[in-house]
Amino acid sequence: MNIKNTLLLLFATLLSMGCEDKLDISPRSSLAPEDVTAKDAEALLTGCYDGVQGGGYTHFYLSYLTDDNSSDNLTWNRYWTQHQEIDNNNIQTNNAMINRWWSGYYINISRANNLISAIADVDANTFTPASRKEETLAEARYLRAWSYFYLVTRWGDVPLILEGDNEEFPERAPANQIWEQIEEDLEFTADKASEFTSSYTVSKQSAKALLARVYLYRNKKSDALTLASTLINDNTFALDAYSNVFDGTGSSKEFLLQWRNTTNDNAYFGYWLVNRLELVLDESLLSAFEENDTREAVTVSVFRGQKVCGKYPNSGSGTDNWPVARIAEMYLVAAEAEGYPDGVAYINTLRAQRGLGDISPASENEFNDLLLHERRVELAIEGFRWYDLIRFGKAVEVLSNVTSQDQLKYPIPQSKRDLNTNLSQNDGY
Amino acid sequence: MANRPDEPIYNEDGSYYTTNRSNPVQSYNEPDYTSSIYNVLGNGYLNIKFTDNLVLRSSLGGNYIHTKEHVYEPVTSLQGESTNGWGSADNNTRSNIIAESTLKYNKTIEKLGINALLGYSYQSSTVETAYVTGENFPSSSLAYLSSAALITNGTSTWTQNALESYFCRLNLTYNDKYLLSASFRRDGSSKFSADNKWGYFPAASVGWLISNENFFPDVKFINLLKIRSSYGVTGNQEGISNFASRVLISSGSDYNDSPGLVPKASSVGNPDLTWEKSKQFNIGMDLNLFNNRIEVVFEYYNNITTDLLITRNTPSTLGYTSVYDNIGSIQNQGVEFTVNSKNFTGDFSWETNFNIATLKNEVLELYNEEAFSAGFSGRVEEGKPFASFYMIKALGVYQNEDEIPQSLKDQGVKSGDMKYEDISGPDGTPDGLITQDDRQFAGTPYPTVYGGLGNTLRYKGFDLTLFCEFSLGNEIYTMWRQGDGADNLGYSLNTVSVKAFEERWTSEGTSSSTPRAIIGSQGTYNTQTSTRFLEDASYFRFKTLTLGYTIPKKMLARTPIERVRVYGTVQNLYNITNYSGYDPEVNSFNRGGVRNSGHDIAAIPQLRTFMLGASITF
Repeated sequence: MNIKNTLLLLFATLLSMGCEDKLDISPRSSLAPEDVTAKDAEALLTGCYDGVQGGGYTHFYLSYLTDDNSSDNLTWNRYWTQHQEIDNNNIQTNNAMINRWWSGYYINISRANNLISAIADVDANTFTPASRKEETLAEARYLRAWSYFYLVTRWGDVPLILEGDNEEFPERAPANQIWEQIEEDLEFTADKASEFTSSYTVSKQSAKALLARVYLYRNKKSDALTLASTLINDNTFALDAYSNVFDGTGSSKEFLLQWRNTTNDNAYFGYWLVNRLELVLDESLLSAFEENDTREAVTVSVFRGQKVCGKYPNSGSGTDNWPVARIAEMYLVAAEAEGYPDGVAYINTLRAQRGLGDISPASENEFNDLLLHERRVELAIEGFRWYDLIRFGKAVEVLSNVTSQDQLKYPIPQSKRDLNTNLSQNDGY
Repeated sequence: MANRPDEPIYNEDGSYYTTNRSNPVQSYNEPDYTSSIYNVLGNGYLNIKFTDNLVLRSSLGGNYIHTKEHVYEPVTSLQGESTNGWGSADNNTRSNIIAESTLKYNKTIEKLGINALLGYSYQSSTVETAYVTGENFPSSSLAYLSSAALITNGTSTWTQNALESYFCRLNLTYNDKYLLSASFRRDGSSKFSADNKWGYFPAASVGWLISNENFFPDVKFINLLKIRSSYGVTGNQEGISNFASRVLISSGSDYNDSPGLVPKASSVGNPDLTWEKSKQFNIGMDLNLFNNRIEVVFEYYNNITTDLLITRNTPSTLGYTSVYDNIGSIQNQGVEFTVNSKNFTGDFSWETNFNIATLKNEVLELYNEEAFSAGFSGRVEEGKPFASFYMIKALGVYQNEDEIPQSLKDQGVKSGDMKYEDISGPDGTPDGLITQDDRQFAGTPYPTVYGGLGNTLRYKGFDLTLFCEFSLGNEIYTMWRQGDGADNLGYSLNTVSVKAFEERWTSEGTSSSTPRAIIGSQGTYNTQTSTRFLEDASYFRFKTLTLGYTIPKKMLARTPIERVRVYGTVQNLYNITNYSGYDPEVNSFNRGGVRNSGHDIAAIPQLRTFMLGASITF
């Protein structure tokens, strides 16, 4: 090799040194948050839906069933002792399901927070149409509120994490503050979201439905009534035969919002109710139906000789949607918000559709008992019963395993408290 | 693979007998599986001698590995049966490039010897994968995916990392008595963010040949006495993902069959991530005796690894359950002692090499002082060895009803069930129940003492070498015994080992170690993770035995061949151990890293290998 070539090679070697960007390697199948554009916003929003629908954390979809399992609608039949603890209202602080759901809600919240932060500074004019930016924010805030709703109704005080927060070891915020945030988010959504076109995504109307529920639970009865009656009078929605509502197609006009599950989603909550026989119907629910109630034949089904939930007929393929808001609930919200005696009419309208005659309670107490009963049979295995018993002050009376008010809140998972010593525990654990 | 002995392989009509378990013969015979690996290596270098003392060497090497895997499960196979044939095609390529340039300077100025080096290196590694699966094949003879009616899965990935280093080293010797060496490296890794890419790693060592000093007494039997010490820092960036410092949004989270994007929720990237550093100190002595026939080396080492790179669990309220972090420090220390001895020299020669070392591992510091679970049954806690076994302690088997506390009877525990130690409860005191609160430290997967022993005998043209290894105090958690098909006697209706079956408790006094056979939830009480399945895996292994014969030179005198040696070797000859598994050296979770050390799922043991060979030198 002559000296010229040698020098050239030496030069080339030296040139290759000190060139910093050789170590600057970016992934090609992932995206950095700072690179998010309006085009990505839609996919990030889809990611938020994926979370609430069950994709956020292993077995998160089983959290849908816990309210009915904690109450007297579902009973643990076999396999997972975590479900047995929930059924017996004797939840250990190391209960793996409680731990997963807690994580799952916060993962969902972080997805929404992340989207809200990521598009906050993106010019609305880059969205098509420009209003899509606010609609996207509105949907994200609904999905955040939905997660906080379940956190606050099951655990009470919980850490409040909003967009931009990065405190790794937060303390628990008072339940009231969580409720305020839920209201604020839902009011935003009810104002800015798109009009209802599909029950698979959040709309103004579905936000109003959840907001009506929240107002009612917070004793803001006139606000609840206003929203519920607006929706009842909206002819986009209508009561439908119970067998149509739960025929597995999700096409009934009763639905304001449902989490859609396709064959690609693996949200097998129905599988656990039916094929796996893990959580079967409680005896007391079986005897709760009045004669001629068309809801009984739909709600109660038989699988291998056991009475199981029949409302999710696609349990084998895991393609049942999870009902988030139905118009029937708005009748019950309106009835409760209106109160005795004027609220009775709403209940009777619903009962007529379900094949039952009118009720005529003689007192407010009787009205409350009948309303609670109606909510139970109408909304069974849809995630209402547990908090209804708490709201109506009936949990200790009705549930034989509940002897203390402390049992009405789930424990903060011990493993989370181990990792965050700022997290206090609920009383009784 | 395991199957019940009472089940046939074939049905009467010749088809496979199938149950919900796989038929091992069917699983072996039916699928069509081909795998090929192509490995292309290239290497070139350039040496420039500027002067006798100054040499530049530049080298460029490349390595390209292509792995192809083709699987076809015809309709007659277990997996293909339900899908009318199933196939996959897997293509992986890994390309590595390494370039290095060094400039060396050697000079002796009177009594001072100088040896200096300046260097630069760059390496990168790129991995690309493509994987496609399909099903519903028209015919069993069309085994490629173009024939599949349905493509069920298709993914492709790309990832890359690069490492760049500048380094220099200076070795000085003076008067053959004093040795000094110093080096410095600057390493950059693509895995870290711009601010943390570069790590600086110095090292230095000193040595003193006391035996060359004038004042050293003129003792015939001491040929060399040297004391030496070194201290250095090295960096580590292995074991983390290529993009561990980046907060990423990834695809794959779909709703309503639309593709979605979400931030990662576990092993989340951390821009603050930086190099893991290992500070290594040692001090030692070399002593040669009796005409250099005996060499003795004694050394003390103390290595402290700081900024340990690991994924740390988080309280998850920020939406992720774990994050990459530099979380703490670990210390490894011990002594090493080596003796190499030429017992006989001459026509018959005998050499012995022996070494023994101790190891003490301790976690010094953890993030937030927070202990965490590591792997299947390990725990990482300050003051304890890293990934120590942490589990319920088994005390034996309840022989009769009177021995069982009422609190356990209430839970259905009966005679013949395992007796465990109740050390705690939810409020920190024993509660009469056996729960996760009763877990305790139960040993480590690391030996306390380990070493090797080698002997070589030579006579005329013959040579015989026997090399042995030993390890004391290391334990193994036998997941294979806990799992299906071995000792569990209670997991489900399935196979059980004959040994466990025969040793099981059947009535009072029949067994104090193996519980009764009972299925269902009471069975899982007996099979829960406990020291019942933890075993001492100390061993003494006859590792290799070699017998060789070198043909006398004069027989080759008229050939162009210079030397011929024929030999036979047995590897892994014999093992002395009380460990009940296949191999006490096995670690089934190499990929899980050190966290899962000492767990055995009945992995394939090291093979006993017989080799015959000839080495011919022209």
